[in-house]
Amino acid sequence: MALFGGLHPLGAIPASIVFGLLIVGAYMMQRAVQVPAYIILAIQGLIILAIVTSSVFISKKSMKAKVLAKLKKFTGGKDAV
Amino acid sequence: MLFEIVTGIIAAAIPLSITFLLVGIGEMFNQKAGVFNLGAEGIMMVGAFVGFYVEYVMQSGTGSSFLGMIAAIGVGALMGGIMALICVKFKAEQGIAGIALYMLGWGIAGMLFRVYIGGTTSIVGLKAIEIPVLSSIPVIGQILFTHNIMVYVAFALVPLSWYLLNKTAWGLKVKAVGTAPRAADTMGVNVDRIRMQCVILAGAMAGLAGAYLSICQTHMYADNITAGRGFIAVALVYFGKWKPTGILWGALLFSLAHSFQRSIQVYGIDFPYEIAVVFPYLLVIVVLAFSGRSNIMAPSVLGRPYYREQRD
Repeated sequence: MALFGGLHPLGAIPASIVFGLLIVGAYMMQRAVQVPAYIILAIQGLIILAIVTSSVFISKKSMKAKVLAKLKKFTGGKDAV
Repeated sequence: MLFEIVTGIIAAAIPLSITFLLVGIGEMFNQKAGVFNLGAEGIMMVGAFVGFYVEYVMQSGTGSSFLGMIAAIGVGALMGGIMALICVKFKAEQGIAGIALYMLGWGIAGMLFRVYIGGTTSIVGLKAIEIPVLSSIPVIGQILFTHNIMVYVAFALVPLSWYLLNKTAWGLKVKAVGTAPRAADTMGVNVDRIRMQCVILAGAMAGLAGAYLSICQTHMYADNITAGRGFIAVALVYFGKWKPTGILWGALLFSLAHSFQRSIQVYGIDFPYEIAVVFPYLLVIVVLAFSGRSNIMAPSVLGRPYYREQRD
């Protein structure tokens, strides 16, 4: 979860909101159309796997600089990492 | 009476230890190669479900049990392949990828179970067999010779994996990749390929362990059937100092504590069972705390991906 939020305390807030939404949606889905809530566990696993893997591609210098600049803008000029 | 209870506890502990033993040996291989696979638990769950499902659909006795286990090995190897791709090829953070794989495995197994089975159903599974002459030896017979065939297969895997790791060229490569990947690379060993082989092997073993759990041990599938056994197996690898025999002793010790805890409930001994349930886990913590030197024995690049182009 921490990695999902871009290793930043503020990033953890939207990250946990997304995962919370997924869980709530899963139970709603289970009640409404009888899709097992377990599917969300699998999807969360896939999301985390994708995020973890993506760091490899971000580690290229130009990409990293771009992402850091975006984060800096998002957090109001403070150093993001 | 007391003597019979003790024999019963030991006899019950041996089949319990097999799951830990199978996952532990697989995990030992990938840790020896420097990959830390926390996803074993998830792979076990998928393996347990697939094994159970194949047996449930086929319904033809022993043959379908073995078919179920083979299917579980295949699925485990597939999940191991995912882990290998992410951790070795893409060099992702191994601990987090392992936890994600655990969630993925739990989700897939739980979902498929709800969709295809629904409630609690039991299968015939592999029954324990009593080896004709040997099982009638008074104490040892009951302890050693009254189990299902997978128990003996798993015990045979201990010397086999020791031989594989210490006496074959492949095993030496595995150890080299886990201690000095750059030196191994210089000597022409393909570091990533060896690591991927190890992770896939560990996945297959974890799948088999899961199938053992559902087919041979509980004869059913329930949600979260593994109940943390995969994580305990990772701890047992540390406890066993990355040696097959060490893992065997660790698995036996832990399941002995587990079986002792169970018998306290069964025989109604006047002892609060809530404390007894904690006992096996407490034992692991205590033993790990006192085996302080185990870090020295660890593969030195455990958990660190290998970048061929970079300096150390």
